[in-house]
Parts: sequence; structure tokens; C-alpha cells
Amino acid sequence: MLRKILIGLAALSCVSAPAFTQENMSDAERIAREYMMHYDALDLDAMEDYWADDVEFFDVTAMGPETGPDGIAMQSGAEAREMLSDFIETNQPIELGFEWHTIFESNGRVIFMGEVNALYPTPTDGQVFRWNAEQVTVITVRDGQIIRQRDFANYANPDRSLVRVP
Amino acid sequence: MFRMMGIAAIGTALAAAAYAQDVHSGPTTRAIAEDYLAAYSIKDWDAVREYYSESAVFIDPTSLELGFNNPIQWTGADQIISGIEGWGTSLLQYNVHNVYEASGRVVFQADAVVTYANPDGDVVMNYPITTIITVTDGHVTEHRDYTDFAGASRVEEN
Repeated sequence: MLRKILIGLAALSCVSAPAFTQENMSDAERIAREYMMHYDALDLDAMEDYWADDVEFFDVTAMGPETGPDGIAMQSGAEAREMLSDFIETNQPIELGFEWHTIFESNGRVIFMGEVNALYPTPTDGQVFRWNAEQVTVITVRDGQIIRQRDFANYANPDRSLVRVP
Repeated sequence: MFRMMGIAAIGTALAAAAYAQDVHSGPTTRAIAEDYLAAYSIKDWDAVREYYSESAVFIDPTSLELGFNNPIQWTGADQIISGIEGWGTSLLQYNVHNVYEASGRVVFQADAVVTYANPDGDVVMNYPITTIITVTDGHVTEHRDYTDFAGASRVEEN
């Protein structure tokens, strides 16, 4: 039975390709894509508009001297906003520079697979610092709002470089 | 995530990387996850069973698309292996595009190439997938999948 369902879903997907047009995109995927554009730009006011009252944030891959083995868990938008604000104030990021090679939605979860290319200013004109790492982000959408965000990034082995501004 | 990127940006990245290598990271965790996934791919259940911790969980929050009442969440080797056997697959091969490890989690950005044995001939499907394997004390404590069931495509065989 399950095999028939799997094969049936696959056949349906072949008929409905291509996947990423406005016409066949689910509301959850549209909302998550919009949200991730604001996340990329670190537009906190815009991001906050998408959060449900009980939104949660998890990053089990986060690591550092102040981070435990289970990474980061935040149980409210206020907590996330405070961390983001501190990050922006301290580091003045230009953008997070997400590049997603695969995006899909299933059961209200929108999965972004790709990498982050965060850019930061440097004292040298025409030069920025780039922090590049593979990343997966999973956005859970319910009733038109984001209730959960999970990030999984390659903090252990990012690529760091100074690059010329194009 | 921002804390770590911030550390990198303010110039102590090398120290942070050394911390990551020494405390949370290392080849063993990744090797365990990769070896586990290799055994899982060929359904070597004896080997798979050895990797699981007693309370290991197998989760796929995206699996409600399959018609289950609840998304897959199996606990313990017996329940996990029995559940996977219920899929009726003969192979669960991974075509991995990216793999990385941080803080005991090994993340596979991949396509799962799944073979279903049919009397009329095998049916092979390609599912975009993210699989996250959590390794604790040398054992797999969580296998977490995010699967693009609706976006699967049939692989034509020669």
C-alpha cells in the first residue's frame, strides 16, 4: 500500500513539474520564501511579521565556548530578536547571502538546502569578509505563520576569505 | 547561528575553529554517520542495529504526505527497522551532494535513490532529501529526514 502511495506521488510530481512557479507553489512555501528573503537581509521588522506568538528557533549545529552540545534553542520571537539585534550591532553584517540549490515543501515544512555567504565590512575600501558554509534551514508554517525555524550549518569548517566588492 | 558567525567576523575564527575540532567535532562522528548510512542504504539491518543507541529515534516530519495519521517517529532499533521494512524498498541509496558535521550532527544534502521491487520490474525513484544523523557517544541517537515526497521523480533505467 505504502509503495503504491509513494509511486503515485512520484508520478503526480512528474506531471506537475516544473515545481517553482507561483501557480503551483503552496502557501507555506510562498510564505517561507518571502520570510527567507527578509532573513537574508536581516530585516528584523519584516521577519517578525511572519512569526507566530509561540514561534521557536533551534540550531543544534551551533557551537562555541558558550554553547552546549544541544546548540541554540529559543522559545520566543523576543529572544530571537534580541540575539539577532546583538549580532547585527556587533558585526554589522551586509547580508547573509543565502544560495539555495533545492527548496521544497512537505507537510508544512519548507526545506532550504544550500549555503550561506555572509558578508561583513572590513576597514579596507572595496573589500569585505566572507563567511561561507553549507546550510539547511527548515521553516514550519502553520495557519499562515511561522511556528518553528531550524538551522543546520557547517560551523565546524566554514570557508573564510577576504573578497573584493564587485 | 549568529553567535558563531559573529565570532568568525570579529577575528577569532581560528580559535573558534580549533575549539570546534577539539570539543564538538572530529572525523569519528562523521565516519560513524557515513558508515551507518552506508549500511542503511543496503538494508544491512544487523549492522544498522549495532549503530543505534537503545533509545534511538527515526523521524521524518515531512512524511505526513504519505497518508500516515502522524509523521514518522519511531523509537528503538526494532521499531525503526520494522517501519523501514514496511516501505517495501529493496535499496535506499544516497547520492550525496554535500555532507558536513557540526556539534555531533552530520548533515547530508542528497538525493535518495530508492528501488522498489515489483513483479513487473523494479521501480526506481529519486527523492531530494536532507538527512541529519546525530551521533552521541559513538552511537546514532537520531536519524532525521526531510524528504521531498511530492517532488520525487522516476528514474528511467537503461
